[in-house]
Amino acid sequence: MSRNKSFTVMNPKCNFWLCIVVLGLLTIPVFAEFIMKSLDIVFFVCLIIFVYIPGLMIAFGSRMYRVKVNDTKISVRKKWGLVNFSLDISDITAVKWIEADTTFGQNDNIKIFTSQKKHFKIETVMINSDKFIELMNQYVEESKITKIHKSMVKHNNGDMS
Amino acid sequence: MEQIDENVADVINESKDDFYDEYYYLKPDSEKSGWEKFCDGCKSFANWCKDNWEYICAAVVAVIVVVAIVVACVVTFGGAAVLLAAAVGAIVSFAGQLISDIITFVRTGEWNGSIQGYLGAILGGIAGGCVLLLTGGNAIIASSVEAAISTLFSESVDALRGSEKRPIWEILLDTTISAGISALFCKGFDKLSGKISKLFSSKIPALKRLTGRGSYGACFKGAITRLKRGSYKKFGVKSIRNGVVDGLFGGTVGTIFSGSGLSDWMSGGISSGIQWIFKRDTDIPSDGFLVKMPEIEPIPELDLLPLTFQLQ
Repeated sequence: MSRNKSFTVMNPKCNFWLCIVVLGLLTIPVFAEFIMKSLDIVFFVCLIIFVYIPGLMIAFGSRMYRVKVNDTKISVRKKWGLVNFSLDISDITAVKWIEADTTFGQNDNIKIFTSQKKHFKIETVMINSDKFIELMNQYVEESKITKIHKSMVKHNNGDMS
Repeated sequence: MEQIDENVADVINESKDDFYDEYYYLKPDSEKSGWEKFCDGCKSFANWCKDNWEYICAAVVAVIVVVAIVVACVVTFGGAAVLLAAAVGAIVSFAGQLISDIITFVRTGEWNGSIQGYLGAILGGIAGGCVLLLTGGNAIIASSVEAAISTLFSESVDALRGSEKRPIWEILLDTTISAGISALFCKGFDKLSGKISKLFSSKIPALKRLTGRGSYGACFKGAITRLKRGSYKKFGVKSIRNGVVDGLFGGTVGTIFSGSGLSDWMSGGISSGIQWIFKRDTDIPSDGFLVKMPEIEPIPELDLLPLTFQLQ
């Protein structure tokens, strides 16, 4: 059993920057209409409420999501840092593990429930997700894990299961 | 004396209130209370909604479809992968819309780009990226969905903002045509799309990764081959990026071609055809019905009868 394992699972940094780029690109026509004085205030307010605020919330939510692992201690920061909790790996009560075979590769979408009635998620595209999956396989009993397999790749006989 | 003045003021105010009760629309804003102003605002908003309900429904339907696709995708793949695919899709779609607007500007000398156009492109790109994940990389469906949502949303909001008021059936027709063009460019004109992208990439170095050996498409195909062989398994950031850019590229070329007038030409032809079918038997001028009365002999004493009446 290897000790002193320490790593952090987080969303890929490009997710945050891509969101910022999308919002930035949208700002160009908004700015252009603002200069040309064809931007009405109601539409501008709608843009702020329905586009910019949710967009920034998603971007920062993605950036601030973090699962820190130190040996068997796990600390989770989610919902823009408003929800923080720590647990031991033995506190994990259930795991819902969706494995999806796609043309993009195999994706694992893992939802972990704790004894504190809280949950957090780990996905394949996250940085260090493979280390966390390894840890789970090592320490979490198989009886706690519910695996769901989805295949989105067409097989030779044309079936999609 | 003061008592008399107060009595007179009361009588005047009472009669004024009675008058405004009966003729509320004559009440000036300065006489209205805050609550009345708020009620007026609500009424005018309700009237605006009543007048534009078709466009509001169309825009809301487009947003609901995108939200449904994203939710379905998040359930299977999780938020991080979906965010990545959606953001890449949005950027690809935005770029296509921008190039299309530039081509239209060069062609007509008029800048047609608007916030709703780009917002629609982003919304369509988000849906297209997620559909690519859901369908396992089916570019035709993804591009069609991307184009349909983009057109439906942007043209509905266009009508709501009052810049271009068109009948709803024309918007739906445009939506169908743009979805069809995107599907066509994905499937039928695959080679043509490749040649066009080659032409663009030779002039603009930033677009070099669109064709050839190191292109997004080639990298994605390489990843699929490795996946099939079993030497590569992981669902990675790069494979999603390459797959989404490659998958939505055909649709983007379709959008660019729409800027060259292909879509306008098609929808213009079909809509004038429909108008011709429904209106060929009735000679209706756009400014109302001008009914020509039969000529009658004027009565010498009463020579006042007009020959034509303008009916509203």
